[in-house]
Amino acid sequence: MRLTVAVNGVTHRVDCHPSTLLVHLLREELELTGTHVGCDTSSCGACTVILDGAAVKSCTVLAGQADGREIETVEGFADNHRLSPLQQAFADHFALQCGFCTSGFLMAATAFLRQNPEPSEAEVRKALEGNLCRCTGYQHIVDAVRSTRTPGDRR
Amino acid sequence: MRPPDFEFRLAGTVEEAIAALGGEDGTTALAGGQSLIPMMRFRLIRPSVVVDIGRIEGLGSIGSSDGLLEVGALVTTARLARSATVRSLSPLWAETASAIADPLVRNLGTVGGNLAHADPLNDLPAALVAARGHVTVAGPDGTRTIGSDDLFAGPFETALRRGELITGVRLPRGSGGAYEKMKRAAADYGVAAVAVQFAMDDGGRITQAGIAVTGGADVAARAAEAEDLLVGSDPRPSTIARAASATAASALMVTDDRGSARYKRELVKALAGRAIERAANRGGGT
Repeated sequence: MRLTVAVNGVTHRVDCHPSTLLVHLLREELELTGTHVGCDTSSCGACTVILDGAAVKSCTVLAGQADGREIETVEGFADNHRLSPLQQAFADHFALQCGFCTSGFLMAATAFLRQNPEPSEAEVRKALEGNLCRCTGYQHIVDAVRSTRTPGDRR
Repeated sequence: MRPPDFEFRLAGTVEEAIAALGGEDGTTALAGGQSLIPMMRFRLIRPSVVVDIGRIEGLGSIGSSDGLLEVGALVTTARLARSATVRSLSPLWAETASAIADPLVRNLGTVGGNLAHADPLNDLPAALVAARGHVTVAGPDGTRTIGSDDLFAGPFETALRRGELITGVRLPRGSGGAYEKMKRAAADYGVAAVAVQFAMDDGGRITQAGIAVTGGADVAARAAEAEDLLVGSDPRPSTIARAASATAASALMVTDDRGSARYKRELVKALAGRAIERAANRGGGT
C-alpha cells in the first residue's frame, strides 16, 4: 500500500506491506533507527513516538493507521549535534545508562511536558508508566524531566 | 514481530464499515488497535481483512442528553479520563478510564474497541455493567441498542452480529461511583478490579446499586446479591462488609499466573469494600 507520512517535518511517500508496523516503517523504510524495538509486546515503550501530538507505542500501530499523519521521533530533537534541553537534562541527571529506552522516554516526556509544563513528581511518574528502564531505577529520569519545567516545540 | 498478512481496508463512514464487516469470513474491525494488533502479532488471531474504522467522523464526541452521558465509540480512553463532562456525570467511568493500561496505550485505545474486544481483563466492561449502560450498534439491519447485561456473551465474545459495530455508549448518570483495581506493575493488566455505581437519595440511602467484577472467568460479572443487599440501605461499615463478601462469593475467579482463585476472591472482597465505601461517600456528597 502507498502512504504518506510527515516525519519530523519531512514528508515521505512510501510503498509498504499492510502488515508493516509503524516502528518498521520508521526503522527499515526510512532508516530512522533512533526509535527502538524493545519488548515487541506493547509493554516497554522503547518504540514510543509522537503521532499527531500524542505519545504512542509505534510497535502497536499499523503503518496504514499513520497514513497522512505527523510523526515525531528522537531524530527531530538535536540541532546539528547540539542536544535539545530535555536530552541535555537526561545527560546532566544521569537519566540513562545503556540508553536503549531513552528515546522512548524522551518522546513520552516531550508530549507530556507540552500539556503539563510544570508537573509534580507524581504527575511525571504517572505520565511515564508506559516506559520501562532497567538501568536507572527511574528517579534520575523523573528528576531530569522535572528539571526542564518549560514547554518547547523541539523537546 | 510483524502480524501475519492481511488486506487493509479503510472505512470512511459507518455505512462503509458495515458493508466491509459484513463481507468475507475473517474480517475484523480495527479502532485503536491496542488489543487487536498485539493479538495479531502473537498469532492469537489471523484476520484476512482488517477494516480500519478509526477515521470515521462523528463517533468521537462526548456529550449528554436526558440525563445520560453519551460517549462516541472512537473516543480514546485518554480523552475519557480527561473529560470534565465524564468526571461530573460518571465518576466511575472517569476513574476506570484512568486505570486502563498506561498513558501511551490510552492515547490510542478506544471506548468501542475496549468493549467489543470483551476481554475479561479489560476494565470498561465492568464499568458498563455497574453503570447499567447501553451500547448503540449499527449494522446491516439498522441501529439497535444492547444493554450491558446482554452485550458480553463470554470471553472475547459479544452479542454483536456479523456486520455490526458499536457506535457509542449511553450511561445513566451516577452520583456515586468508584473503580478499585489491583495491578502487579504500573502498566500490567489488573489481577482483579471492582466497579461500583450508586444512585442515592437526599438522606444518603442507596436507591440503585451496580457492582461488577473485572478479572474473573466471565466478562464483567454482575454481583447481583451484593447489589440487592445495598439497595434501600444506608451504607454502614457492617453493610459494606456484607456486600463486599457477597461480591467475592458471587465472582467466579480462576487460577492463573496472576494468582490463585482463592487469593483473587480475597482480593475482590477487599477491592469491593473499598469501592463501595468510596462510591457511597461520593454519592452521599461527603
